[in-house]
Amino acid sequence: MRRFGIILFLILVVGGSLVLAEEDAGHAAAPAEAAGHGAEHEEGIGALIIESLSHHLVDGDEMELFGFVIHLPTTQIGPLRLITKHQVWWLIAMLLVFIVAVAAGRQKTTVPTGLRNTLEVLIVFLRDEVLRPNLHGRADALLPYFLSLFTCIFFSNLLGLLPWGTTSTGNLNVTAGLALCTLGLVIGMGVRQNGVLGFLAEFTPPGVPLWLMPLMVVVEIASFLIRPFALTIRLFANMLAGHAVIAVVLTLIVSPLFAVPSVAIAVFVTLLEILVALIQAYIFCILTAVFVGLAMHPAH
Amino acid sequence: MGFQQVLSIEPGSVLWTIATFLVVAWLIGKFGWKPILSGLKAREDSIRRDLETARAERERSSQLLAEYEAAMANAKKEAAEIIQKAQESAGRVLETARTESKDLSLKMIERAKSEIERDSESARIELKRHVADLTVRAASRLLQRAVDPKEHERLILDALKEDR
Repeated sequence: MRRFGIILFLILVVGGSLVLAEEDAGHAAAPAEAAGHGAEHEEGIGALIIESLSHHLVDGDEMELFGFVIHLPTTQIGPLRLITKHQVWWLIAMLLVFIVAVAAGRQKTTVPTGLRNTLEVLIVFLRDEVLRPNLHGRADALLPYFLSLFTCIFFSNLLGLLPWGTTSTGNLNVTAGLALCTLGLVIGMGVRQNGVLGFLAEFTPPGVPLWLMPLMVVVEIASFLIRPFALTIRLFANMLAGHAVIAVVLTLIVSPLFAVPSVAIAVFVTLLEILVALIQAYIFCILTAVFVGLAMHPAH
Repeated sequence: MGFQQVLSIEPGSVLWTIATFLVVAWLIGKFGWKPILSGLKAREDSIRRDLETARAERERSSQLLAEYEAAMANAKKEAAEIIQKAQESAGRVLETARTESKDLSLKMIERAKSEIERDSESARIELKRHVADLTVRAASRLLQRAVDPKEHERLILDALKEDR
């Protein structure tokens, strides 16, 4: 793996310097013409990158699938636009999770195999490593929610890696919705565990001088509200960045010298994206569990 | 199509996400996770139960083993005692038998001796009588006359007595 990285780096450096040298030579030979040509070339690549990124990452009312463009029914209720490309992909991800979970659940055997076995590995991991250390007694009751959360985010992350696929978790609105669900769960479990007053008391940390209390309350509320915000941005930015990198690298194919390394890098980044998809789903879940755990059992 | 659109927040989209996610998460939980989790729990419970049963049985079997070993040791000790006792009593019986048989044989020898003596005495008397008879018969034949055998017998016995 390391050797592969070094070779890739060398190819890039050599290829890049060759391109620069060529352009320099072109500039020296016929400055005016070359400059014009270069600018046009750069603009072409830049436009292509923007176009590719927009196509891949920006939400819209059109879905492209197997070369066909599907126009989504615009559902506009007042100022709220409901069904968009990312929303459809988000539904597809959840539908896949539903199918997988139901298919695994239909297995009626004491010794699980295949899909059921794979899911049980995930279930036991989430339950024992993520939920129980944070939620203690409530872990088993909240397990289904966290399983749905994890699998839906994971599937959605992965769908972006398919041809024509789109990562709905690369949309700020989707991640914001999920983070708001986390916020709701945090408040709900906090109130359920400690009562409304007990929950509100968490914003007044003990052992703080009275004159400092107003400031601390503001700080605590800010930190409480920043958590879902951070969740939103973390998942969104990771998914966006991964796909942006792949798109940019693939767009570099137009330069013959970069064609081979750009495909190699794209493959590498795609593999990395699979890992990132798993890690980000895990992080979203464990942070939600930690936040809910903090609301239920205040950190004194 | 501006690239800045990526960063724009659409409240409708957010609400739609929340609504769909909550509904679908509930559906997945009900039809997907619930059977898997209950199966998992049943399996975990059965494994825990099996382990507990196995532990209890192991404890019971080790207890039984200890009991059997104790009983075995006891039985061995008892057997050894029984053998010891039997050997002792056998020795005693042997000793008694030996002395009894010795006494018996001595008595038998004694009796045999006295019988032999008695027999030999009676034989001697018989012999004496027979000899006297023979002598009388011989003498009467010698004398060729009838002599009162009783008289003769007496005479001869007298003579024999003197002879002795």
